[in-house]
This record gives sequence, C-alpha cells and structure tokens, in this order.
Amino acid sequence: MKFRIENGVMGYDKKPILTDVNIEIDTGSILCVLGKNGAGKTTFFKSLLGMLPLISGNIFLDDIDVSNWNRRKFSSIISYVPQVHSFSFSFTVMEVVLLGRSVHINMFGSPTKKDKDIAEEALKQMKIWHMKDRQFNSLSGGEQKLVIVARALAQQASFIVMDEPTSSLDFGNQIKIIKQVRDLQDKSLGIIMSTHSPDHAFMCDAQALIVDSNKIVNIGDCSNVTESLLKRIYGVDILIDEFSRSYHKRKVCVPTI
Amino acid sequence: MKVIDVIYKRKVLSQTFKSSYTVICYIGIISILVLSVIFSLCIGRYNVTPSEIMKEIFTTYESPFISTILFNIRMPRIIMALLAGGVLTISGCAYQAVFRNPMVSPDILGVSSGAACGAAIAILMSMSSFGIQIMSFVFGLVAVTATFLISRVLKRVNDQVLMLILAGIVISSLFGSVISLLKYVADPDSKLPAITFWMMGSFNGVTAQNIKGILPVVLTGTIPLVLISWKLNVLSLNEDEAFSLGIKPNTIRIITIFCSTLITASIVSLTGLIGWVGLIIPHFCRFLIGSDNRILMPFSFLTGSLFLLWIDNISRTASSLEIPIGIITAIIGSPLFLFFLSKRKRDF
Repeated sequence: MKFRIENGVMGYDKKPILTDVNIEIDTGSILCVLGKNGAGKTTFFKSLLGMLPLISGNIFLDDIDVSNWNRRKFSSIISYVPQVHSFSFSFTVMEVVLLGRSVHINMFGSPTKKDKDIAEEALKQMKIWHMKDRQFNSLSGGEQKLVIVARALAQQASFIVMDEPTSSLDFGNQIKIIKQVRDLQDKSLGIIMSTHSPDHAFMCDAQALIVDSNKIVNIGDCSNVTESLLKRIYGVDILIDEFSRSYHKRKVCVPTI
Repeated sequence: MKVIDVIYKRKVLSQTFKSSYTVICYIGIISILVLSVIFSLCIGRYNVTPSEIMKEIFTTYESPFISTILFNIRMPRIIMALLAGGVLTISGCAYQAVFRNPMVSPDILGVSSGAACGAAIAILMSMSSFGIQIMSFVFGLVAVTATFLISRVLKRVNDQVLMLILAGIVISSLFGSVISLLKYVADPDSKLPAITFWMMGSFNGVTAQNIKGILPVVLTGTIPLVLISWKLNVLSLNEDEAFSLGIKPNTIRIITIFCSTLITASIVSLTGLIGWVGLIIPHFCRFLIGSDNRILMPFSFLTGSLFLLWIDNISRTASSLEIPIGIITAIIGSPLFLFFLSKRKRDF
C-alpha cells in the first residue's frame, strides 16, 4: 500500500506552517523525519495523523482520497506512537495494549476474545509477553515504549507514526527500539518516525525527509544525506564517514567538537 | 489499618492470578452483600430473626406486624441505601475517568451542591418530587459544566488538576451561599426544617413509591455508563493519543457526564446530600481490583452499596434518635480519605 500527500498545506486556523508538502511512503519502508527543534515536525505529524485537517491538498491511500475519512476509518490505516505517555490511572500492560483495539470496537462495545488474541499476538511480537500483567506506570521508559508500540500493532494499521521513539531512552534502549523498528519494516509495515539523531536514519537504511523552515524536503534514500545538509539543518559541523568492520558497514555521523 | 497492607499485598498477588482474582473479588463482595442485606432486615427497633423472614417470604403464613416492618419499612430503606451507595460510587468512578483524576467526585466537582441548590429551590416553591428531581438535575449539570469550563479557562495558569479542584470549591461555595440565602428566606416553621434535614441526608421516610419513581431514571443513567466503561479507559490517555485510537473523547465525555449527573441528581433529590461515598469507595476499589473501568465500575457499584447499607444500619440503630447519613459518611469518610491519600502509591 502507498500513503501519499499531494500539495499539502499544513498549519493551524488557516495559518500555514508547512507549504507544498509532497510525500509518499510504501508499506515495508521507513521514513525518517529530521529537523531542528521547532521546525514544524509536530504540525507535520498532527496533519499526517488527521488530527489537524489539511488547509489544502489531499491525502491518498493507494488511489483512494482519504482526506475526508472519519476519525475511526482513518485510525484503522495509520496508528501513532506518541512521545510522552500520561496515564492518570494504573493499567496493566495487557489493558494498555487492548486499548489499541478501540478503533475496531463501537461506542458501547468492549473487547472480545478475538481482540484479546490480537493484543496477545502484538505482545508476543514485541517480545514483552512476560510483562503482560505488570502495571504500565511501574515500567521503565524503554519498556513503556515497547508496550505503546505493541498497542499500535494491535490497532492493525498499515502505517505507524512514531514521534521520536528514542527520546529520553538510554543508549541500549535506543538501539533496541531501532531494531524493533527494522523488524516491523520486515513485517511490511510502513513507518514514519522523527528522530534527533541522523545516525538512526543510517541504521534503519531509511528514506529521509527534512523539515526545514516551512518546507518539507524529500531527499529520498538516506545515502543522500550530506555533510552540508546536516550543517544547514543543525547549524554545527558534522562529518559523515563510512564505518566498516567485518559485516558491519554503514555511514556514521561524527560531530566535530 | 493492617487491612490495607494486606490488600496491597493482594494487589501484587492479583498480578499473578489476574482473571481468577477478579472472579474471587466479585464472588466475595456479592456474598457479603447478600448476608448484609439479610442482617439489615433483621436489626432495628424490633428485632426479627432470619427464620421469621424466611417464613414471611416462602410460606403462606403471614404476621401483619412483621410483614409491615419488613416490606413497608425496612425493605424500601435497604433498597434505597443499596441504590444510593451504588449510584454515588459509580458516578464517582465515571467523573474520575472523565477528568483523568482519581481525586474528583460529585461533591468536589460541585455537582452535589448544585443539585442540592436546585432541590432547595424546588422545596421552597413546593414542587412535586418529580419537580425536585428535574431541578436538581438541571442545577447539577450547570454546576459541573461551570466547574469544567472554569478549570479549562484557567488551565494555562497552572496545573489542571489543581484548577479543577479549586474551580469545584468555588462553584460549591457559590451554590452553598445560594442555599443559605434560600434557608434565610424560607418559612421557619415548615420549609426551613425540610431543607435543613434534607441537606444532612437521610433515608428516613423513603417509600416503595419513591423508589419506583427514580428507578427508571437510575437505570437510564447507569446502563450506558456500564456499557461505555471500556471506552472510558481511553480517556485516561491524552487527547492526541485518544484521537489516534479512533476515539472522539468529547462524545464519550458528554455521554458520561450527562449520565453521571442524571443519576447523582436523582439520588440526591430523594436522599439529600450524602458526601464522601463517591470519592473514597472508588479509591478503595482501585486498590483492590485495578483501574480497568469495565471491571472497576460494576465492582464499585456493589462496594458502594455495601458501604452505604452499613452506614444506614449505624444511622438507624446506633441511638434512639436517627443520625443523618451525611453526618456519618463525613465522620467515617474524612479520616479514611486521609489514610488512602497517605497510602497512595505512584502506580496507583
């Protein structure tokens, strides 16, 4: 499947923040969104998720115009892994993952056996089955992130939007999340994630998208990310080098300090 | 107070035996409730033995005296206590889910005092009991809406939870002063005592007729609440997350607030003000059974019923003079609440 935005203008109350947005993502690929703080990534994600209607332009799924789909239908094609989780009550991991099924359950309904099976499957896929009865609020940041990804899986959408999935995680957990993202790609999901580290784009072998002063620049494969581009985005000097040791070959970023 | 420590350990246990633990909790509460109802039928100014009750219900033998005590006096009162306890608790749960905060309840949000004010006006104008219900519902709804709007407007100033509680205090005291004004102008021989006693809360004088009157209202409010309970879980997420899960949070909020206010007001219009129940019982139930509203709400209903049944038993048997319900719930509720507050864990 293909998710596509054509000639999108995004922003609040007719006040455009991003203009001329043309992006396209296939299932089974990763799109990394790079950009400095306050460049408009949040606006971009909100529009992508349908929380913020496009000022103009259209959203297509394959060749179907989905711009005017209602909340529930839209959520069944694209799910969301937010950056912060605020739970005022203590739910178990299983209960949190089950919430992902709410797209498929009507207003006065509750989850059936089938929904539970799907949630269990999602937990197993994320390899967190063993913590299904633990309290979500007592988990570490990395574990919580895995649970939220499992919830997005239970939603059974073809595309997942992840807002800085590695933020405020320690180094090990960042790598674990990146690995999981690659696994999801292999299961032919389309992933759109923002990150503050261009290295993550190299690790995922992703497509890259630059959000830069009211513009979205689709630069295609991340091998097209150049030192001058990084300098322009982040305002500091960053060298890009080819790292190679036995089977591990990929580009790395080396900031010069 | 060791009890709570034991319960807290149970909570750890519950994570190991999740599904059967829930079933055990339900069986436990239902059995205690049934036994308590039988016991409550027996006690009172005139003691009846369980065997006499059995005889009364299951055989053709009838003692007019015992029959009157059981079916005309005690039974309506017990049913009312069960209904009021359950309703106040379940609406407490619902408000807590809607406002994403385990510290709110109908009294804190101003619903109770709004409803009380509406009822006081209705009493003053000598309206029928139906009129009292309508007035308390409308005023209750106005109060909770006002509280919510104020907290929304002030949201950016500070922490939202704090604003909600402060707004609730403001609205409560506003309606409180209107009530005082009404009392001041009320006829001191008839209307004033009626309003005053009503404010203290009581099940005294509840008839089968009254219960039949509010039962349809209570059912219309409670059934949607129970049905929507799973979706209420989604409300504890932030707005964007709820949206991305395909939910329109406001639709659920409006249905829930409407239903909760409806049932709270219908109870308040009949029994007067009964505080604390909607705050401490849901709190206690979360300790015991977790926060999944689908499991929590029916369980809270039963627990609230049990609680108020025993409060009423104390009220009518502790002394020769009946003690108003609202006074007992406050005396028992306030220290209990402080205790729960001190025990509140991060993950709770």
